[in-house]
Amino acid sequence: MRSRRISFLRGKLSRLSPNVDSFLVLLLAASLAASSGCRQQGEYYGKTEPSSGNVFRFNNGAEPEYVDPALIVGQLDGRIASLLFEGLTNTDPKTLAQIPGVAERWDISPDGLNYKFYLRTNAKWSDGRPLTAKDFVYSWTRVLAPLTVSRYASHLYHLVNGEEFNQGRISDPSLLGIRALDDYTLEVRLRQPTPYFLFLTSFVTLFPVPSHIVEKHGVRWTAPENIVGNGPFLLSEHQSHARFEFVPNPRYWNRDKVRLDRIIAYSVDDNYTSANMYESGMVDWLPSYFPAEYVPHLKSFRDFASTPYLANYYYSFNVNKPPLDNPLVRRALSLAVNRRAITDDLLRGGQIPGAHFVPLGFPNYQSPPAEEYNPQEAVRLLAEAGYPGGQGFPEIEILFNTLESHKKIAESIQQMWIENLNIHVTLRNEEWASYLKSLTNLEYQIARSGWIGDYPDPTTFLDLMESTNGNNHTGWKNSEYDRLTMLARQETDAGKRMEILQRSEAILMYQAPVMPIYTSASNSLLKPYIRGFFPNSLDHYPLNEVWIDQQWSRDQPSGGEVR
Amino acid sequence: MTKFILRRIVISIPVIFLVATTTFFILRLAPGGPFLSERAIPPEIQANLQAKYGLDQPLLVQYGRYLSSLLRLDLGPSYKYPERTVNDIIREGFPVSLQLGLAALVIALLLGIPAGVFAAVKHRAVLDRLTMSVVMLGISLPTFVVGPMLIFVFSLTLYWFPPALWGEPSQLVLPAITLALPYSVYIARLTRTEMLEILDQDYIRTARAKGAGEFRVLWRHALNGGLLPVVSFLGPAVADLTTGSIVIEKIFAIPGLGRFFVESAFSRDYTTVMGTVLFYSVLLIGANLVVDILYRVLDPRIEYR
Amino acid sequence: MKIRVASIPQLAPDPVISSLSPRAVVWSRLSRDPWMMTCAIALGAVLLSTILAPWIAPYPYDQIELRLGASAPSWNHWMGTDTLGRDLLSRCFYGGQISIAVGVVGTLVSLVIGVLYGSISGYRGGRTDELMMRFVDLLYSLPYLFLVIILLVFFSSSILMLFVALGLVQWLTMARIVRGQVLSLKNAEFIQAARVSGTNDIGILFRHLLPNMAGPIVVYATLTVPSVILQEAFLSFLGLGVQPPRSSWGTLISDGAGVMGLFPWLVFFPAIALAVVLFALNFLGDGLRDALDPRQRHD
Repeated sequence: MRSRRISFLRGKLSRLSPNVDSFLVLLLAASLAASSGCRQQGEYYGKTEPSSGNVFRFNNGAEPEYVDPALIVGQLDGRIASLLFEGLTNTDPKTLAQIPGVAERWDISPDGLNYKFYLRTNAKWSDGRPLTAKDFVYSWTRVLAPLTVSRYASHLYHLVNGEEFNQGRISDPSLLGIRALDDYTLEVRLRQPTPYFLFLTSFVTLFPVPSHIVEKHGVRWTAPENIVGNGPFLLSEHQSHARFEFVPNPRYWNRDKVRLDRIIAYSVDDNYTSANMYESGMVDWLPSYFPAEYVPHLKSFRDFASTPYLANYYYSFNVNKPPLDNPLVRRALSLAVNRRAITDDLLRGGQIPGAHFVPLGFPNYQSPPAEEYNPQEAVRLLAEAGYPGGQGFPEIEILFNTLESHKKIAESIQQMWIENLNIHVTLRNEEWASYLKSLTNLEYQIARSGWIGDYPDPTTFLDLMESTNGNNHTGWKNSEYDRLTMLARQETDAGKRMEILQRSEAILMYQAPVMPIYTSASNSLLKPYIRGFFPNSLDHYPLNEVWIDQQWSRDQPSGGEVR
Repeated sequence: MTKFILRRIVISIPVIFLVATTTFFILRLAPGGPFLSERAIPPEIQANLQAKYGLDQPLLVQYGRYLSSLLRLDLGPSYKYPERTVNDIIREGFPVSLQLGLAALVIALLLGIPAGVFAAVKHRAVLDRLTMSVVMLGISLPTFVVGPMLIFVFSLTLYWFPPALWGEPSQLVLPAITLALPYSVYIARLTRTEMLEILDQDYIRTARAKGAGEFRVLWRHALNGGLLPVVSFLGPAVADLTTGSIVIEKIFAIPGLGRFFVESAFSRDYTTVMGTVLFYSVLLIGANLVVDILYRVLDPRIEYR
Repeated sequence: MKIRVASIPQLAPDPVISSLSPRAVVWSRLSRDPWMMTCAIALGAVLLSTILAPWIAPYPYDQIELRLGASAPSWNHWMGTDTLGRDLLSRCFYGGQISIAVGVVGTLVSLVIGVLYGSISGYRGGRTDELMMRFVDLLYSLPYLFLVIILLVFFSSSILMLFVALGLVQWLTMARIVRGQVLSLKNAEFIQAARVSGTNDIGILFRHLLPNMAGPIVVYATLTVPSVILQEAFLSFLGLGVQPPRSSWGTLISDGAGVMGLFPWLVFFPAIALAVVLFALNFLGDGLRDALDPRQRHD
C-alpha cells in the first residue's frame, strides 16, 4: 500500500521538478523513499522487545495538575493518584464490580441510606502508621471543607449535610454523615439511596490522605520527598513535565500481588510524539494518546484495542435563541445529520454512532430507540416549523473549541445541514477558556459538547439536563424531566429505577435540547508482552497486578524484531 | 566601561517594570480565567478559589501585591499546578532550555562558519552557489517539518536516536540539530559576507603575496575579523534560540521553559505566564548587555562611533 | 521562529550609481545572473498560481468528501486529499494566498512604522535620536514572540491581529536601517540645497530622503517577507495561525507534519510550495543586496 503511494509520488515529483528547486526534491524524495522502504506493516506496531527489568512504562498524556486526591479533576491525574492511594473499595477491571480495598467488607441498610465499612487491620500508610477510620473522616471532611476548594466535592454531597457543609451553610463537621465508630469501623449516612455509592468509594476524590503529612507540609505534601500514601506504589521521582517514577510500596497490604519493580509515567502532551515513543519502544502502553488520524492505520495491528466507553459527544442547542427555541427545528437538525458518516468515514476511531444521550455500555440500562438519519423527515419537520425548503431560516452558527477533531466534525455537520436542509450555517472556533465562557453564559447558538461519565450509572449523564444542573448549558427546562430525575433518586428498586430513567431519556430525545452524535471509544496501544490488563467501558486500568512477560519475546523466532 | 554597564542596568529597570505592568494588565483584560472548567463548579467553590488567590480583590490591589512580591523575587504559585511555584517551574525548565540552546548554538557555529568561509573562498563559483543553496534549505523548511523528518528517519526507521524526551546525551542530538539549522544559515551568510569583504583587503593580499598558505591566511588573518558580526548576531540569537525552542520542545517532548510558557498561556495560568515573560526579558537584556561588552572588547573602534 | 537579519549593509549613497539610475544598474546585474532569474521565475509562478487560485483551483478549498479520506495523489486530485477528503492542490493555492498576504502585509506594517520611526529619529538627530534609539535597543531585548503569543491566545487569533502582531515584531530592524541611512544622507549637498530652497521637513523626508534610501529598504523588505511567512507558520503550529476552514501553508504543513509517516503528500506539497517561496525570496534578497552594494562594483 505504502510503496505504491511512494512510487506515485516519485512520478509526480519528476513532473514537478522544472520549477522546483532540485535540491529540495532530492532531499525530500530521498528521505521519504528511504524511510518508507524500511517500514512495513508488521503484526505489531513498532518495537516489541520488553525493557530489561520489570519496568512498566506508559505515557500519561500531560503533566497532572494535582497529585492530591482531594483536588483532582482530570483522568490523567487520577492515574497517578490511583498508584499512590487506595480507597475503601476497588473497581474490578474485569467485571466492574466493587471489590474490597481498604475496607475488608461492608454492610448496607435495607433503605440504602446507611453504610458500615469494616477496615482491614493490616492497612498501613507507607511510613508505617496504621490507616484507620479516622483517616477517612479526616479526608472526606477535608474534601468538603470550603477552603480546600475541591472541584469534585459534589461526589460527597450524597452524605448527610455534605452539600450544606461544603457551601458554608453548616460549619460543624460533626454534623456530616460520616463517623468513626472505632479505629476500624466507619459509618456513612447518605441523604438518599445512591446505588452507585460503592463505586464512588473507589473514586480518587474519596481516597484517604495522611493527615499527619498534610498538616505538616501544607501544599507541599505531595512532593516526592514528603508524600506518604497507602496504595500499591510509592512515588520515587518526579521530573516536572517529563515523568513520574514509582516503586512498589513494601507496606501495601496486598504487596504479594504486585509484580512490577518499577513504573514510569511520562507526561508527554503531544500525541504525535507520544505515538513515536510507542513505536520506538520507549513506552509499553498508550491510553489514547496518539493522533486520531493514525487510528484507521493502527486498526490492523494486534496491539491496538478499541472499546466503547462511558462518554458521549453531542451538540447543545441554546433553546433561548430562535429558531432553536422550536423543538421541531432542533429535531430536524438532528435528523439531518448522518452520524454514521461521521464515525465511520471521518473519525474512523471505533466511535459508535447514535442519537441517544446515554452512551452505550451501562450495565442494566438500555436507551429508548433513537431516530435514525432521515433527511426527508428532517425537511418535513423544518417545513412544519415554518421554513419550507429552508426558506426564511436565519443563519445559524456552530461554536466549538479549537481542536482538529472538533473542527472536522463541525465542518462536516455544517455541510450536511447545508445540503440536506438548504440553510446557512457558519462556524465559530474559540480557544478553550473563551469557549467555556461562551458556553456558560449561553452566548452561542449551537455548541459542541461532550461528557465523560463519573460513575457507571446512567444518571451521570441524565442528571446533566436537569434544569438546576450547573452543566446544563442549553437553557432547557422541563418540569416533567426534573420530576422524573427526582423520582429516580428516591427509587430503591433497580428495575423500576431504570424504567424511570428510560422515560426521562425519551423526553430528552423528543424535545432535543441536545443532539447526541456518538458514544466515544477508548483506543489504546498495548505492547503484546504486557499481562494483567482488562479492557472495560470505564477506561479503568489498575496497574497493581500488571506484569511483563519476558518469556514472550524469547518465543519469537526473529528475536522479537517483527519488522 | 563600568559606567557603561551601570547605565545599561539602570535603563533596564523601567523596561522590566513596563513588561511586568503590560503583561499583568493584558492578562487581566483577557476573557476567561484560570479556574474555568468544563464541569460546572458550584458558585461557592468558584468564589473560594478566587479568594484563595486574591483574584476577588480590586485590580489595583492585585497589581500592588504582584509588584511587591516581585521585589522579593517571588513569582507566586502556579495557578495550573498549585502544588508548585513559578520559581520552581523556571528552576526546573530553564536549565533544560539553556542546554538545548547552547548545544544548538555550538552546532550552528560548527556548521555555519565553515560553510560561510568555504562559500566566500569559492566566491562566484558554482561551489559558492551550491553551498549557499544547501545552507539556505535550513531556513526554507520550518523546524516543525525538519524535526519530524529527522525523527522519522533516525528514530523510527534507523533506531539510532530516541524520538523524544530528555536526560540522556543521545536524546540531545536530534532536537539540537533541528534547532541549530536555521541559525547555521544566518551564521553562514554573515560569515560569507564579512569574509568576502575581508579577503579583499590589503593585509590579506599582502599575506598572500608573502606566500602564506591559503589555510593559514584564512585561519590567522581573515577569520579573526570575519567573526565580529557573528558575535553581534549572538545577542538576538539567544532570543531566537529560546523562543525557537518552543517548537522543538513540543515536538521532542522536552520539559523546557518554552513549552511551559505556551502551555501556561493556553491554560491562562497568569502567574506562570507573567513569570516566564519577565524571566525571559531579564535574560535577554542580560544577553544583549554581555554581547555589547564583548563587542567593545573585540573591536575598540566602537567607542569612537 | 524569530529571525532577524543582523547585518544589513549600511550603504553610503553612491552619487555615481544614483546618477546612472540605480534601478537600471541593479536590473542589469540581476538579469545577467541565471540563478537570480530562476528564483524570480519560480517565485513568479507560485505567486501567479495563488493569485489565480479562484480560477485555476480544481475544487473549492473547503469542499469535504468524507468518503475519500486522506487519499494519495491521483488523476482527480493531483496532490491527493487531506483527512477530510479536501483537494490538497486547491488548498495549497488558497493557502498560498494567505501565507503571502500575511508576509506582505506584515512586512508593510513593519515598513510603515519602521520608516517613520527611523527617519524621524535620524532626521531629528541629537537627543531625540539618542532617546528613540535607546528605546529600540530596549525593545530588542523583549521576548517578542512571547508577547505575540499572549496577544493571540488571549484576544482570539483573527487574521487582522496576525498581521499587526507580526508586523510589530519586525519594525525594529527596519527603524535602525532607515535611521542609519537618514543620518548619512541628511548632510548631503542635495538635501542642504533643498533645505535652503525652503522645502519643509516632511517634503525633504518624502521627496528627497526616501527615494534615496529605497535600495536598502527594498532589500530588507525582501528578506522580511519570508521571515514573516515563517513566523505565521510557527504560530500555526501552535494553533494560533489562520482559523478553519481557511488555511495557510503553515497550517497545511503543521497539519501534515504529524502524519508524515502515513500520508507523506500532506506535508510534502505545501512544504515544497513554502520552501520555494522562502528560498527564492531569500536568494533574491541576498542578490539584491549584492547588486546594490557599491563594494561589489569592481567585479
